[in-house]
Amino acid sequence: MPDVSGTMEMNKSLLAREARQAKIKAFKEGWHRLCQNKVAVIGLIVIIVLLFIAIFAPVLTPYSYDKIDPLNAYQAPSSAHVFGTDGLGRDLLSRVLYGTRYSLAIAFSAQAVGIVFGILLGALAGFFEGLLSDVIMRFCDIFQAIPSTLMAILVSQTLGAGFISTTIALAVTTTPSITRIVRALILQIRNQEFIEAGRAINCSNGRLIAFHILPNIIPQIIISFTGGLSGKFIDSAGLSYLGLGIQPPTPEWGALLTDGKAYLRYYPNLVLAPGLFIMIAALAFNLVGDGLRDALDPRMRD
Amino acid sequence: MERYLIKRVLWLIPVVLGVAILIFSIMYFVPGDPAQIILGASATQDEILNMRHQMGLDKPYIVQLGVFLSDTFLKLDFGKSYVNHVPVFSALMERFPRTALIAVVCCIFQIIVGIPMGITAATHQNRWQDRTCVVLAMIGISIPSFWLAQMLILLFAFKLNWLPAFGITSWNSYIMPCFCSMLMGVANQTRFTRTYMLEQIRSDYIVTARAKGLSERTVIYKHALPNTLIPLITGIGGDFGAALGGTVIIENVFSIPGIGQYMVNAIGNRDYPVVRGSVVFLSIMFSLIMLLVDLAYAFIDPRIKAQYVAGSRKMVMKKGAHSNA
Amino acid sequence: MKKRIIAAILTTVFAISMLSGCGSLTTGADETNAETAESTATSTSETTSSSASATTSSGASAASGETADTVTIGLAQDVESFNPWLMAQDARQQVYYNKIYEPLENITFDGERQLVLAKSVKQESGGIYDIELWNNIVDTNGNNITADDVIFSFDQCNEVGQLAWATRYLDHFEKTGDYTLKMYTKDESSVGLDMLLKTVFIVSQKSYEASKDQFATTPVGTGPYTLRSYVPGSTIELIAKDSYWQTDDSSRSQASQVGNIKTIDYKVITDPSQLALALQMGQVDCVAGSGVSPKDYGNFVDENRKALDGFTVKSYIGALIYHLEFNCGDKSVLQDQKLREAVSYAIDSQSIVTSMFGQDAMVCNTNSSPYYADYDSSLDSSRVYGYDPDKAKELLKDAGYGNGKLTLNLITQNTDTFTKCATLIQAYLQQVGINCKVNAYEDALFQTNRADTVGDKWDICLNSVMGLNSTGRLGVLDLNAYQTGKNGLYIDDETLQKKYMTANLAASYSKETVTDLLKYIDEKCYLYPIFYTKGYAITTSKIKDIALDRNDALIPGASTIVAK
Repeated sequence: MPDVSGTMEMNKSLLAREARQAKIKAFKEGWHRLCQNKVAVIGLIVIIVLLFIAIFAPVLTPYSYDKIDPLNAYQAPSSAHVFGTDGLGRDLLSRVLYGTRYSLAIAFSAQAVGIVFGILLGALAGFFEGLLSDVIMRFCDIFQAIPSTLMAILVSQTLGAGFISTTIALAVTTTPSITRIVRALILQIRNQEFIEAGRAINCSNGRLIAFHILPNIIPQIIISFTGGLSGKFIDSAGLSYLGLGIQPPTPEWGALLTDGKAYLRYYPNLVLAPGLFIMIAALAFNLVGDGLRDALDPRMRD
Repeated sequence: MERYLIKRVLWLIPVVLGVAILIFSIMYFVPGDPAQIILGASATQDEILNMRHQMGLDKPYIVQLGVFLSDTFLKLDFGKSYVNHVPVFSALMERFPRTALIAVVCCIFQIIVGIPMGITAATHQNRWQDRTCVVLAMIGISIPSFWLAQMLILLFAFKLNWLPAFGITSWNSYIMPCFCSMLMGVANQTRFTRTYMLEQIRSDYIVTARAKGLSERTVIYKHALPNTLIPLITGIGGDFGAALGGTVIIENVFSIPGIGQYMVNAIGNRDYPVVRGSVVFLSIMFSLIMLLVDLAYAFIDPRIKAQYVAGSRKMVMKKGAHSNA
Repeated sequence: MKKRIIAAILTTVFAISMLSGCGSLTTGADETNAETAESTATSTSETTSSSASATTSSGASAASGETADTVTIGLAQDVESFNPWLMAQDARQQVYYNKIYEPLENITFDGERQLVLAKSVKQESGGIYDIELWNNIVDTNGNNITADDVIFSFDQCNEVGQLAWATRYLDHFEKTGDYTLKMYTKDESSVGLDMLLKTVFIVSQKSYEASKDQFATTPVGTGPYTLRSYVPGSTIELIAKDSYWQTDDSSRSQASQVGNIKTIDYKVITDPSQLALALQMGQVDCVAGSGVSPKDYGNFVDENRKALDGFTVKSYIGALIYHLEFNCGDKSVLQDQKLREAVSYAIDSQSIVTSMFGQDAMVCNTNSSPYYADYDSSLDSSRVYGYDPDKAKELLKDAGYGNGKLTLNLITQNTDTFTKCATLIQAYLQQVGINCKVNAYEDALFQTNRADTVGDKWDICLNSVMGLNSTGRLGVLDLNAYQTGKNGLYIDDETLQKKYMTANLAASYSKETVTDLLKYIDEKCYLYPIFYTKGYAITTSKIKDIALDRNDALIPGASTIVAK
């Protein structure tokens, strides 16, 4: 009896290697295309700059973000204070720069948590059909039937203020849609040939999911991740307003925005500065997200 | 087709029920005491406990949930606000049309402005029309709505005196609120239309159509556009639903008594009947809208209609794109 | 197909997450406090110096001539329902008080008691009062108000239950005639009588029972105005009745004056900036309630708080005193008085007031203010544990909490004033080496945390409180208000309770007993009073002389109003 098992092993690893190589090639091509998209590159540079600011904030800021100077409250922009000062005399530029940390951190972690859970649930729903799948989708329906802003308020109020509870509150609004996307993708993919092939050589379900299915949904995930980020900035702004998000004196952009909201007519710099940064960040992520979609989408290939 | 319709409507029931249970539970666990808020900080603990007893808030979770569900779904009674004893349903009926009006106008403009802009951008990809549209769209997404609202009021209401600054005294009170509200929707619509059109334009069948010598107009409007309608309609449907719950800031700045403010104020006051009733109401509306969107699919794409009728498994994939699978 | 599905999915994801941005959240007026309005009363004995010094100034106004007959008032929120016994809030104060409904008595702007529906109120003995009604009171339906109606009104008020903080003082009524009754009060509190007489509006039982929705949309009251039209959430229109029941002008209360004002229009403007803007542009003549916020003052008054052209201003002293409550219970490190003193020494209240308000607020060195009739200015001249950061550091070291070792948890509400004040206090505490965490909550959460029975949710509570008199303000100290055996500061100090009761009961309430109580509080460092604000009632120059009631609401009929 010829030793078939050895051959099967070889076939398995050949298949796997080929799949991996094809994947890597696709990514490389995608990256190449992305770099050719000028606007997306700008967005990427902006994001890197923002990350740089976030990490090195204490070094970059001219004043400490919580240094109070009540006698110099509500100063207009000047050479001493590029963006002016807020109601307690704190330098607005420093606060906005420092706020990059919090805003990016909240937006990233909320999206990340939301997506991880979305992938989990979506994979379960997509892979194991039947009751589990139906139940998960019904839960998604229910959660999505409540407007996301409202949902964020409610969850946030239950959990209280602070970084972790805000992250969870915002993540909850992302998970249902990601679950749907992942499930839909998985339903498509699982019927494709290379999965059939994998099954034919007795790949376990776990390996199938981890090494074959997940890599195929990564492009989608990346796009969803970047796309939803800008909404997170604005949502966390609303939460801060209700005293549910980040607490004073931490200078999260949304909190700064709502602080300045009442003074819009008199000291517009209070709103313009954080608003500008939110706009830039949202824009950058959108551009990169669009670029990624263009780059990674096989249809766009010419 | 009727069977599909009935099936979908029946599916509404467990979803709405689920929403009711969810919102009840959330409000149950949210810290904060409506009795304390109503009676004020000078009330004694006794008085607060008395009022809680009056409101039925000292009963166990299950009992309260049961009362709530039977009142809402069996007696169709959304209850009365804790704060001012006004029946929730009649307040919703009065306020909903105003918010809905803004949401509807938003959607209409998404269609008549966003889609054409997106098509223009797509058909002139990488030329100045495209760049302009994209930039405009990007700006539209990023402007804080309350800032825009206040600027508009300063200009049109006070400087020029063309439009009322607040209230709902006449039809033109809605012009500025609708504009502020639609900006983001139109901007998004432009972007998505552009993306989908670009996809379609690159497809084989369009190449074929062009090769056949059809005019560009026909190619775009008769062949490409209908194929983008499916995702576009999903988007608009989703937008409308989200807009229903999301116009709070517009309502606040323009003093429009819609359901957005109603709900957010009620959350602050822990006015449970109002919050629950509003959320259940909104979820029913949202589910109905998604149903309409799905039905629209059937009209647009005969393949989808066939799938509905067949109720086949492949249907599930497409329906993954929106609610009510 | 696949592409489209993904596109559709993405659309939904984008749309829902983006559009959620369309609706950032707000809760409207940013300076509201949860305090229900409890206005004050003079002490039963003396009338002290003006409890509310008020100055009016008007900018140059347009040419006067005939008087106007309409006034437009901006409201920050709607009444939603016209039921007379719902919780008192600014909008209701403006619209009900002596316009639609009337109570048995009124407290005037200066804190004087003025009878309205009651012809006389005589004390029979401790806690028992004889009340006689006017016999010619009629409501809009023509029904006469009798003693039965008074009893009915109080009963209904209890049913609704939202005014329990006022009706708690009532034991029962005894009807002694068609228009006379005996009122038995509980607790013999110094504020009890006035609370009852001024808070509960009296309506006719017949009219109330005839109404389909308990006056929610069609109120029927005895006041000089009646409701003509109402668009929920948007506008309210009141018109003066053809005839008012009180024909004797000398007995007519100031608050029930109608003057020439036939119509009062209320417009609901939910955004505070818009409210100020509307006043500036003359779209409303006056702003109700907490009115214009300090940041908008510059549009109406100059740096000396004199009215600019086109506006009239009347200043008054706010009833709220902002203070720090210290958790003295055994779950908090501040149970040690030395540490409380350290905190007190660390804070420079004058500096806080100047930087936050300038001239629009006054430092409060004791737990009373000129708003209250029992105010003793000698207590206010200096603070027992005044600003002395070195002393604070010394005390900290002695107690074993040298630099940086002590961390305190401060809770407050999340409105602009509170968060600013909290941040400043945090900075002062930082200077002496105390770490202070600030938690600013929305109203409901704040109340919950403050009233928490366990006592570990906060060390310091930054709050603002008012009351009918200085003792009435300090309910947080009263053991009887709590079921736990400890008061709102989580201690049971017998001496405190004794002094509190002495200053509380009608029989022993006097300026001296109040001063005694306040001195004790200062000595034990239970509270740290910081400031009270000055308020400004601002109107367009259409209103020349502003008449306000005790809730600082405009009385159009009593003000002088000219046509523009």
